[in-house]
Amino acid sequence: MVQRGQLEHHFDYILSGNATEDLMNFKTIFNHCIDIKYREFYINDVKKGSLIFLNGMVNTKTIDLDIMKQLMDCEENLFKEPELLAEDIKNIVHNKLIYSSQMCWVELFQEIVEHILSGNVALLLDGLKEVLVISAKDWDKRAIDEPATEAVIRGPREGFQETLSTNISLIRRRLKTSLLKMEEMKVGKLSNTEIVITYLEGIVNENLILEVKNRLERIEIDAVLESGYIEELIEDHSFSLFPQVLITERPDRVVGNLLEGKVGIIIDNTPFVIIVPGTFFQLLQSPEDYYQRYFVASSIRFLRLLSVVLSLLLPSLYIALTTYHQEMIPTMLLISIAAARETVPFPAFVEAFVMEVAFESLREAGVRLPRPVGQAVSIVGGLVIGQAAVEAGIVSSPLVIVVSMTGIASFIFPSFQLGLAFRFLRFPMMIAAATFGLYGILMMVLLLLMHMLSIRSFGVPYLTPLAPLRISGLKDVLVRVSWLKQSSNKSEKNKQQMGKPFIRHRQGKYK
Amino acid sequence: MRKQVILLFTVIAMFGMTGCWSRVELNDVAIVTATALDLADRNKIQVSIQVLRINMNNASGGNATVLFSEEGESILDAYRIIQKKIPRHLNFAHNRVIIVGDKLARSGMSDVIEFFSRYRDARGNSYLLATKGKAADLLKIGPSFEKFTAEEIREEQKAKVIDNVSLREFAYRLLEGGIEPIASQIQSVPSSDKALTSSNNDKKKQNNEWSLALVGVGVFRKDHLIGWMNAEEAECLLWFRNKVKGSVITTMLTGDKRESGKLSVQIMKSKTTIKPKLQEEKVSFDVRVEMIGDLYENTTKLSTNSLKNLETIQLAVEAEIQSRIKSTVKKLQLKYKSDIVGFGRMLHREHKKEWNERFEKRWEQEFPHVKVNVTAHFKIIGTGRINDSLTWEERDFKK
Amino acid sequence: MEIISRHQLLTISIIYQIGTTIIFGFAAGAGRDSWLAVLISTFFGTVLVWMYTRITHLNPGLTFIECYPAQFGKVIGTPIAWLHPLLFLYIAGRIVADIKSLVPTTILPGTPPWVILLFFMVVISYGLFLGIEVMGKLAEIILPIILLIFLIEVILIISSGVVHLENLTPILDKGWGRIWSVVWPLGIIQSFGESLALALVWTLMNERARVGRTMILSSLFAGLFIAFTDAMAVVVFGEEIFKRATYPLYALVQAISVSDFIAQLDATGVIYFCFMAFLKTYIYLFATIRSIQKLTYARRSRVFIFPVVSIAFVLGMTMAPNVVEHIAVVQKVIPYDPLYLSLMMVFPFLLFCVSWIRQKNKTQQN
Repeated sequence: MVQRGQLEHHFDYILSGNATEDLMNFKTIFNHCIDIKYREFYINDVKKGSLIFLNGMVNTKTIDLDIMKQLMDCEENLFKEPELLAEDIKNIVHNKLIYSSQMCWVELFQEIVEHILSGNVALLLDGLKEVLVISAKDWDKRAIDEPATEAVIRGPREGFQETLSTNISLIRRRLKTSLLKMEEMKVGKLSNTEIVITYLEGIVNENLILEVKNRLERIEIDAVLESGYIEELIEDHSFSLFPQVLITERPDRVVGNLLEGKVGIIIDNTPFVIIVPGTFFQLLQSPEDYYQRYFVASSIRFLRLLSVVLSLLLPSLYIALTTYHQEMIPTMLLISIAAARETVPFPAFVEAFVMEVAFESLREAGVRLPRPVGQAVSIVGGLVIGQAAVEAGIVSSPLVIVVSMTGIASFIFPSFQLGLAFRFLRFPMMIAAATFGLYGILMMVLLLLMHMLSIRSFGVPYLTPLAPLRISGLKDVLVRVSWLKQSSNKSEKNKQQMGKPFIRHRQGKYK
Repeated sequence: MRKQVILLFTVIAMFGMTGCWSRVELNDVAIVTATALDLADRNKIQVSIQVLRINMNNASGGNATVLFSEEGESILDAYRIIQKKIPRHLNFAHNRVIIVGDKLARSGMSDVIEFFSRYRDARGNSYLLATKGKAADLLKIGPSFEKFTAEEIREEQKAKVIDNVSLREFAYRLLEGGIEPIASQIQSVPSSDKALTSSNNDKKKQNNEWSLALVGVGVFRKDHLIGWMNAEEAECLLWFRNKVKGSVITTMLTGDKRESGKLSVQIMKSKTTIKPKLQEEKVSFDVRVEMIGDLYENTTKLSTNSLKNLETIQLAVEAEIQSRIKSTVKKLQLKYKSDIVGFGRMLHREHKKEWNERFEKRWEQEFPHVKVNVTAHFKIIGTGRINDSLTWEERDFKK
Repeated sequence: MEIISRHQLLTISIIYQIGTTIIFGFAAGAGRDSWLAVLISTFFGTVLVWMYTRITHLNPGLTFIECYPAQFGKVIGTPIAWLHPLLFLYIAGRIVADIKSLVPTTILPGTPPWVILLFFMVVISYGLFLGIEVMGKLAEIILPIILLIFLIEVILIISSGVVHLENLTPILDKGWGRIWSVVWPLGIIQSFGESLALALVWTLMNERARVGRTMILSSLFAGLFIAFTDAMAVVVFGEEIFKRATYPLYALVQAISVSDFIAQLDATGVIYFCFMAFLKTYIYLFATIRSIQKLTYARRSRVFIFPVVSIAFVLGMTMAPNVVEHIAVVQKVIPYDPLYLSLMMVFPFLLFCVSWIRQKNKTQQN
């Protein structure tokens, strides 16, 4: 991987106005870059010119038909006049020759190089100290696909893909207002990754945008390959296990959050958009909550809260109850568990720990392996863990139930990152339970809660609106209240602008 | 950074601490399901515990328990001796049944109550029962329906056919003034005639030919068992506590030929109020019983279709209730001199000044002499699926 | 500067004032009238707490302990002020000792108490490092959960069929004598007098003017809550067992048995208690640290965390050899201890009078 801040672009060249000379300079810069193509030509045998572009990132048809053909086919005497000024040449090329909607004149070498590298075509002409940069970007991209990590049953099936402009258009299509602002930045000394900050003016807190820009500007890194780089560099507590920004592949989710006064950070070359500030409960929400009937959505939210608790505590509760507090298990249930455990040679803690590790390995293996092999792994894993181990008396069947329930619970998390955090936390919990029983669990939960309460994401406490408590905010956290009942009055909006943007305003705001 | 260091320290410290001092794996636990206590020679206490023998293979049916019995100076002492015989750690928390033999019960229950109230693992919810004879013998009887005997006893207690007490309630009655403790009486009874005729008693007991039944109530004065009351009287005690659950009253109707026969009614709801009356120096209690129930059996030739007949039946049942309560109270007053109903407590509640001044100390002497007036009200609310008697009158046949 | 909201102060105070009584019971000496004793204690206790809040109100910008030097002069005031952190530390040590006596005997037999306490102290020091704001939020989250669990507990007890309402009668069986004997002074000192430690939190609240009302509200709520739990215990056990039980409210959880399935939840009772003890110890240690910081004019309070926590740990470990002595101290020694009485009642009363007269003079001059 590229090390941070080692290399820097630096060019001393200045455009001379002589096409041949300038071309030579470009060739020196792009030495050993086989993907850079040059096309030299003479217009009507008079004017020397040259096209420079990146092969594979441009549409050759555009170049052929809209640029080359026009230059070649132009009127005989267009450039024949001897007293042609640079201004006139520019005028002719700009207004009479090139068929392109996106083009501009650039003087600086540095900028031209950047344009070429991002897929634009540079047109050098003799006698001009400027280069015409024409957009002909076109490269092979993935089709707009259903997002893999955030599938919904009801809701749009579009997901972001790797191209920035497409992603921007996906958002813009959903908010046809001039209040939706997009600001561009570049991050990464070598990768020159384009980043777009997007927000809704009037809803977002101005200080938040400043802070986001500030943090993005402070980034010093050579390359940004994925949103994870940015996330790690701008979050408040990188030591924490919890994701403090929201990562999503869904344009509708981004728009929903923009409407809540959040800021989106779209990064080129990745389908994942960062939304800040991120809070815990936001990570527990799925965009579908807003598309389903709200009673159903509310009960699903409760289910998720339950699954948070289960995925964190179930194995440790099992350990604590079976090894420390046997009296708490109902007699008949205790007898069944005891009968199942009778032949198991390990302590409950070891048993549970090994099973959890096995489960996590299976899951990880399933993600990494190619799909056909992944299926084999899950079959083998299911057989080995589910049946053979139990029948051999190495693992007890109640524990298998516990582990699989935990597994299911941790898959309910709408945010994969959050799920990972809880998966990890399960292990210290189990150790605490094995050492101190319920007392250990309580103390660990207190530690965890205190940690979560101390986290802030861009000034917003992580557990808002639960703590600090805002009853009105709870309407969109514990339950999902109907749009008709979600408050959208002025005072609520003002509260949002204090940096606590939590109520959705999708109804009757801007008339 | 400091916070992180502390967090890290916590986690590491916990790893180091995984010594698990108080950890007991389920494989090393012996679950005690029932305890029987008897008085042995030389004032020793014999403790018998029924321990579950957990085995994956015999999960289906069969006696899954083992009985361990040992004598000791105290309960804990005996308990420790038993522990030495068992390779597993005895877990008392699921012990729901404590049976006390009458020898021990007559000599005083306070040691037992003391131990079970103090001992960490013991539960106040456990049922306390008394038995005539040796308590340990009852635990030898194999279960007929459940996996182990204790569960059967517990289920029987829950049915509330006979007044029952938990350990907590026994202690409450013992300590509280104006009410005396009781305990359900449990005995082994033959399940069928076969058991009686066969000899070799001990062996048969395993074979489901004997079963456990709640046959009455043991009456205590302070912590001493002083006598028994039979099932019918025990039922009366339930009425007093307003805890009736499907009690059946059968009464004989005598009269001319047409009217004589038996009537059985099932009580649906019962409410008993005890009102103490203090007149000068004399205390008397008005007991008022209000019951409603269904007529379930009618061997008389009375038609249940007529209101007048229903009235007759109601009156007969009322008389039965009245006489039962009267005889029960009389037995308590004259024979046992023990106020297990809690008349004294009622007096305390209504007349706290007089109670504190005069009765609290000498209620035991006072109780046998108080007058108890009983009034009963019974109302039939249903006559079952038919509304006329099927045993027709004779003239019906002549037609 | 950390700031907590009014709601956070309210929840902290409620949990703090309910505190360890959730297990030890309150005014058990009054037998079946204990709930009445609690209500009376609550009334007087609330007056006391109100007086504390007035004192801080009359001395704006100063924490409670700083008022002593400010009003009485440095020579008399400073020693009195210094007694406070010592008292707080002592009480914190007592709660730690509660944990030491309760947890190993109930849910972790065989685990050495020092390990249990060490874990407890580590968690508390982490909380102290994070500051009062985090604790405010924690209380805010936990209180509804505690109330919910309590509600479930009550429902379970009722459905266990062990409730005998008539156990509450006769009211005032043995007259007012035993009620007064538990109300004064123990009933007032316990929970309500101890709110003195909360006084060091008040200056951190964002709406200073509403401290008084918040504290009165929390005192009343906590009082009602304790009265209810006491009544609950009497209703289930009857007077005699209630008076004899070491941990009456712990036994209350044990009484739960719903169709023999949900039963023996006593471990959860202990967990409940541990959380209450956690917050209470936290507030005491926080008050200790903050008063030491104020009295030594130290800029940073964090340097005091480790020593103070260590002292509390050692105090807790060495406090009492057994639970009987431990509880006897609460009932027999503390209520008549001059230090307690003077710090919680006499001095604050004098301070109140002095501050009030000064304030009056000032307004008259103006």
